Amino acid sequence: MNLEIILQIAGISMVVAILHTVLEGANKKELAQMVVLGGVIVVVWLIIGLVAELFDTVQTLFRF
Amino acid sequence: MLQGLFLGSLLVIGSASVLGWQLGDRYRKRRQQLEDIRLALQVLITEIEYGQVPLPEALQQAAKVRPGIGSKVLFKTADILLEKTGQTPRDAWKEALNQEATNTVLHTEDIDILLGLSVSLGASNTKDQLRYFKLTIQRLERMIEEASMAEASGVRLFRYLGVLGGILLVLLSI
Repeated sequence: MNLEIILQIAGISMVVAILHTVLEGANKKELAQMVVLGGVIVVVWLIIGLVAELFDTVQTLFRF
Repeated sequence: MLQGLFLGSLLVIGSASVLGWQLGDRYRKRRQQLEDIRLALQVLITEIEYGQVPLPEALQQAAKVRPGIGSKVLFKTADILLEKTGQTPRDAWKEALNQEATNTVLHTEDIDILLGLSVSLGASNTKDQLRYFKLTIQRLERMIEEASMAEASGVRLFRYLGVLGGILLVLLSI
C-alpha cells in the first residue's frame, strides 16, 4: 500500500480546513467554499488512479 | 535527496509567506498614506486660514510637517507653481497628484476624492476653499475608517493565505 498518497491527502485536507476557517473568519464565504471544492477536486484526482486499480483487481479476481 | 527536498519545500513556503506578508502590508500602507494626506491637508488649512501667505509658500510650509506621501504631493504642487510656467493651481495639483499617485497603494476612489479638491484650489476666495478642504477631509476620514476595517481582516488573511498556499503547493508537488 502506498503510504505517501495517504499522507499527502491528509496534509491537503488539513491545509484546506485551516484555509476554510481563515477565509470564513474574513467574511469571504464564497472563496472559502471554492477552496474546499478545489481541495475535493484535487483529492479525487489523486485517488482516481487508485480506484481504477481497485476495479482492475476486482475484475481479474472474478475472471475465470 | 531528502535534504534537497526539505530545502526546496522550505524555500517555496518561505517565499509564499513573504508574498502574502507583502500583499497584506498594502492594507496597512493605504491607511497610513490616507492619514498622511489628511494631516497634510489639515496643516494646509491652518496655513491658509491663519498664515495668509501665497499658495506655494503655504504648500511648502504644510509639506514640512511630516514626511510622507501627503508632503510629497504638496511639495510637488508648490514646485510646479514656482516654476511659473503659467499653470493654474488646479492643474498643478492634478499633475502633482497624478505623478505621485503612481508610487502609492491608494485606490482610484481615494485619488478621485483628492482630485475633487482641484475644483476650488486657488480658484475662489479663502472661505470657499476652506469649505472644500473640510469636505475633502471628511470624505478622507470615511475612507480611512473603511481602510482600517479592511486592514483588520486583510492583513491577517493574506499572511495566512501566503503560508498555507506555500504548504499546499509543496504538498501538491511532492
